Amino acid sequence: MSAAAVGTVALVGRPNAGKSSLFNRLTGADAKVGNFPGVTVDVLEAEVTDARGRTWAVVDLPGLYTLGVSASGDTDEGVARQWLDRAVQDRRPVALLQVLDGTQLGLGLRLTQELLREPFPLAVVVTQEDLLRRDGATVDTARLEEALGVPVRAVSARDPGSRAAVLGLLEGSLVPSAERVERPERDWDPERLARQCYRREGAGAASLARRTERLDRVLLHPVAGPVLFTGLMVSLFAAVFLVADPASAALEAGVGRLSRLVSRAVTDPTLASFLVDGVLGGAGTVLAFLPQIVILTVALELMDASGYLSRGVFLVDRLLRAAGLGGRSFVPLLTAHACAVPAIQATRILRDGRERLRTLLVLPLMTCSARIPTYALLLAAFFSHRGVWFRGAAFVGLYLAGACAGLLASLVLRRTVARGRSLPLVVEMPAYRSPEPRVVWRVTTRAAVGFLRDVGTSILAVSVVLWALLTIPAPWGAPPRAEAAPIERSVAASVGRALEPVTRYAGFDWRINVGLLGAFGAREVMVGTLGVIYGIEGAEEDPAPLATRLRDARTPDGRPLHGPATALSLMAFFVLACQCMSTVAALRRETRGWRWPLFVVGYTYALASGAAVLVFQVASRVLR
Amino acid sequence: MSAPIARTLRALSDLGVGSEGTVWGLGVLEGEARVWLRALGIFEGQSLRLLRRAPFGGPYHVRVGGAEGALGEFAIDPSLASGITLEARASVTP
Repeated sequence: MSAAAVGTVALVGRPNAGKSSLFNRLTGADAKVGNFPGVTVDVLEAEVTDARGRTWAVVDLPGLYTLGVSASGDTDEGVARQWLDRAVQDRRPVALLQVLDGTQLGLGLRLTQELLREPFPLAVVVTQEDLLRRDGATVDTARLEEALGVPVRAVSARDPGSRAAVLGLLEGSLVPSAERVERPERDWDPERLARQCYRREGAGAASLARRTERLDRVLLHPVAGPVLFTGLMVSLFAAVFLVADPASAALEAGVGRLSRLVSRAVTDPTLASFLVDGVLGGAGTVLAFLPQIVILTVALELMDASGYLSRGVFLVDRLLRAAGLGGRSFVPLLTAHACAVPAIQATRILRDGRERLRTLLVLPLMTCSARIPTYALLLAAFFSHRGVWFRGAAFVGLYLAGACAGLLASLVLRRTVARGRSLPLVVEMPAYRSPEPRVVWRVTTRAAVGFLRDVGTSILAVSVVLWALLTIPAPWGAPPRAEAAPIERSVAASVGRALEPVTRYAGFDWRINVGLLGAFGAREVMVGTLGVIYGIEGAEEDPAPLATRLRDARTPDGRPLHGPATALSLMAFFVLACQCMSTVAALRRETRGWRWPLFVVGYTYALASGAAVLVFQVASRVLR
Repeated sequence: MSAPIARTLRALSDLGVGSEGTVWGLGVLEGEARVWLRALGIFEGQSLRLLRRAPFGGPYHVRVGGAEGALGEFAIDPSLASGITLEARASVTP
């Protein structure tokens, strides 16, 4: 909040009331995540200037049904509650603006009843006026004002004119106040008042409800519903693969060109190597995953804004409940297939602390997109003779392996460390609405920026540290051979060699060990690191030369260095291990401590090591 | 003397798809679930219609609030559905 601001206006309302839409309309595109003490969740804040040149800070509080439930600070209700309590404590000049869905007047007025008991000035904006009018109905705002004793306006948040209407309301009557407001209790019944204020004029005849009913008859049909839902999810994954791939390749090619420019311009070989392999290599790795994050965010936001997401929750609840999760976990679980970090934030929609913890603990097992390059490299190197269908099936198998491991882990966790039954599901199924491109755009850019900030910085750091470890010669021990390449004398290589006696049970030699050491920080760097070790530049852009080199690598006595058994064992390791410091940092942030992030690293590495040894021992006997 | 009014009270979980009723009580449910249901819009006196059930014994899809401008649709877990008592009105399907 800037010094010039007259005060803060907090938007409050039920989920799906059109709050984000109105916030977007009011503030344009320049909202930032507000930094409120005590509030851990992103609360969007932006500044708005009214006609008289005064500045208001507008805050978009999470959607909530009630202020009365003792929700923990991790859920949306809890965040809003905390924010309001904090405002009272700090005596900040705050006013509340309730966004009330006109098509659910009775339900929204129940929240109004609670908000009137809060010690802040209040005004009500009735949204979805356009939908009401299409139904041939209006809301009698004068009558509402009279009954509530606070200002009321009806707007359609999608109409550009709504901005002026709401600003007028702010200017005219909503004065943020640091003083506590006390109102005499008025006696009114939300449902009765809603009926009195709801005017039907035309013959629109509830088209919104009818359209929703018709769509639900198909989308929630006992047979067609699940089939359509599965089809949608499959297409979504296909899009993540097929559409994101060329975009990633283009981004990587751009970074590759930049790298070549840098290596020509910088004459000092060490500095050039630092910039190209360390910095730009890391940046390219980060950018490569951006298209997938964007596609998945757009898809999820479209599903959410259209109302289909809660239908998905309805359809999969039973299935996930069997694994100790619940329908709502579906959203973070789906997000985790792009990246676990935004998925960890998405667990805030889970109201039940135990279920949320279980979801957090198994999210790192979902096949995030950072695993794909390693899978692709290994399949290309050791299974290229099997044809494209085999590799396609292998990819699906790896995805399923991750998902099944996650569900199984959740079952075990429910009986052990994160005991307890999930709270039963109650979720609103909003009427279907067409999503607003402006809002989708805003959500997506925020997700992309958040990904670059949270994941990007840690990948960059890992990449730079790894470069140093691969470049600096180890001060201890003698190199294996005098003519060994500099990389074989590096600190990383000597650590990798020291681990060989243990890791050979999984078929990993020092080269793979070095890759895994880097991947401990961020699994994204695996392919690039192997590229550096095998002396192949631009392995991320084109893995084919590295795949050939991996396949053809020989031990000094002429035997193949790696085989399909090693590839399978390494894939098993990648399916299970939480090789991602960004995830660990996000887990620490969300669980407010080190206990659970360390638990996740411990249990996934234990599983991964066990599985890698088992797979290697079995496969090296079978695949002879 | 007037005849006693016959109430037919049934749990939501006992209703057939398409049935309607008025929410009579949430008494069987524990405190927080009750507060939460009421906040969402499932409270005594609301009219409620069972629209469908999710496959394999999944949640119940209900519509509450017969009055215009007060409609809400919710998915409700079976364990809660058995705690929502309704005064049954009419059954559209057998």
